Amino acid sequence: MLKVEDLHAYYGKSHVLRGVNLHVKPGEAVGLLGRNGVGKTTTMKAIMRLMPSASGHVTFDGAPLDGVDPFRVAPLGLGIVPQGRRLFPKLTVYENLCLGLAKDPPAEGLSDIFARFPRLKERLTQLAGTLSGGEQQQLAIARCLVMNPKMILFDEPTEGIMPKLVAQIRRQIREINKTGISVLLVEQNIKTAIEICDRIYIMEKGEICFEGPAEALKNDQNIVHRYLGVALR
Amino acid sequence: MYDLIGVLLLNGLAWGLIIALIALGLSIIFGLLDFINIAHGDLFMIGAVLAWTTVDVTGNFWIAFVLVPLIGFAAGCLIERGVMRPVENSPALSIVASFGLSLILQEGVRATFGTTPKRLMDPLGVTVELFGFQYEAYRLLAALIAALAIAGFFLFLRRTKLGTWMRAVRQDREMAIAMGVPADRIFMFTFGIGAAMAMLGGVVAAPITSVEFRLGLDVLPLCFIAVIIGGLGNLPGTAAAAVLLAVMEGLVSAFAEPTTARIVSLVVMSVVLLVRPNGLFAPARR
Ligand SMILES: Nc1ncnc2c1ncn2[C@@H]1O[C@H](COP(=O)(O)OP(=O)(O)OP(=O)(O)O)[C@@H](O)[C@H]1O
Ligand SMILES: [Mg+2]
Repeated sequence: MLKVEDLHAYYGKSHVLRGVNLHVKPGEAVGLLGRNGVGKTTTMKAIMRLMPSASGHVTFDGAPLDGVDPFRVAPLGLGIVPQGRRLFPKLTVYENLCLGLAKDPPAEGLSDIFARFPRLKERLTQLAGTLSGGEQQQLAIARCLVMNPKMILFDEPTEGIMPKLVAQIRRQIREINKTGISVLLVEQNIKTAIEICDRIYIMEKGEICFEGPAEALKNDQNIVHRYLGVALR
Repeated sequence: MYDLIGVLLLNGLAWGLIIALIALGLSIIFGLLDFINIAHGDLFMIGAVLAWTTVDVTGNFWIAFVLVPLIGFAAGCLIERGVMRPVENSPALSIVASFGLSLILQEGVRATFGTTPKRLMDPLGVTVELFGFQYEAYRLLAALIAALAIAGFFLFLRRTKLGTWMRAVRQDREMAIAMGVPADRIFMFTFGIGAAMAMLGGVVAAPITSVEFRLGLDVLPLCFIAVIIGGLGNLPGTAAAAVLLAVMEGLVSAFAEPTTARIVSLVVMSVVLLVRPNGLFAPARR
């Protein structure tokens, strides 16, 4: 579904991605872990072609993304739920939800979405900036799903979400994955990643330093400790 | 005395709505592209010159209302590609580039249209009696057209996909692109709309001012003051400020020099900046 080969990217002179290689098979859920600042978000941006400085090869759904206009990536079926949610705060919930669609559907056309995210339905005319953190994350996921993606990049979807709602988001991502949508998930919470993902990559200083089944991480405290510097509770 | 003030208020209103139209164009270009378009007043001037030319060539003023905004839109798109895009990401260069464009437009008009200020015939040729004066009906029509154009602009911004995309790109360009919004085209389109609004303002204003190559010089500062008093990026605030300023300048210049009126505007702007740095209409605290 997604194949990333020798991906490099720079912010000015600093060489942030130093040859990232990874792949995600159709329907697979893959985790991308790593300490703060190792380049996880940058990897996702580069995949979405939002890093002008990026070089390397990205193949999505059998076709190369190299040279594709950045705004054409999402319509190909590759969506992103970005770190920090990045809603358009001064647009309404409805405007946010339908932003990626060429034409706004009638509210009934969104019934699938509302079935999954009932709270959004009551707040369609509210400005997105006035939603609670949890509701904002729901909207960030919903506006991505509305575009019928084949794959979604989740960048720390549970960051800053109260623990009670974390389980809900975890469940939603699993359900999304079950419908056949491939998932690449960046997470600080290793437990969440292990629970959702089939396979895990770990990044260090702009490179992938570990790849293995999620089970392996669960059973091998050393890897977790060595690359992520934390203990798995 | 009160009659005179009534007429001055009406004149100020018509002029203010025209300024509002131009200032909104300036504001969306600045708000979306961070581009300070020094040539914006000259686009207004070109609109007036083209209106005069339309009458000169076809004998029909009303054609200009359709033709000139279309030319303005095309010109705006070209300017975005040719002048603005190359200096993107450099505010200082963008000021220099648009200043250069301003000179080219002015000198181009001077060379072809001439230096003599020209007046258009009142296109309606009808007066109505208001406050005991014979008042040109066209001024009322001008106010109405400008108001309709402003209302149309806000409806477009609020109610259409393109308008929503313009607002989205302005709030978070990168995420808009990630959602599939063609931000580059939105930029070009925005510049086109902004230029079309300035030129439409020129057409509306042509019969009630003298048309000459320096026409933009007087209008640009007023637009900037309106944008600042209204609050950067606050479009309804900008429109309201433009009307208030024009009415105020009209009243003051009836009793003093026009220069004094402009000084008053600048003083008002300074006071607003001191007391309410986010604009007259921003909530005092956020
Ligand atoms: N806009 C930017 N300009 C300059 N440097 C940046 C920019 N964004 C990120 N960086 C730097 O690039 C490196 C990688 O950043 P990135 O956001 O990809 O890390 P991350 O793995 O997502 O971290 P986190 O877990 O904190 O989200 C960091 O050192 C960061 O400081
Ligand atoms: Mg990150």
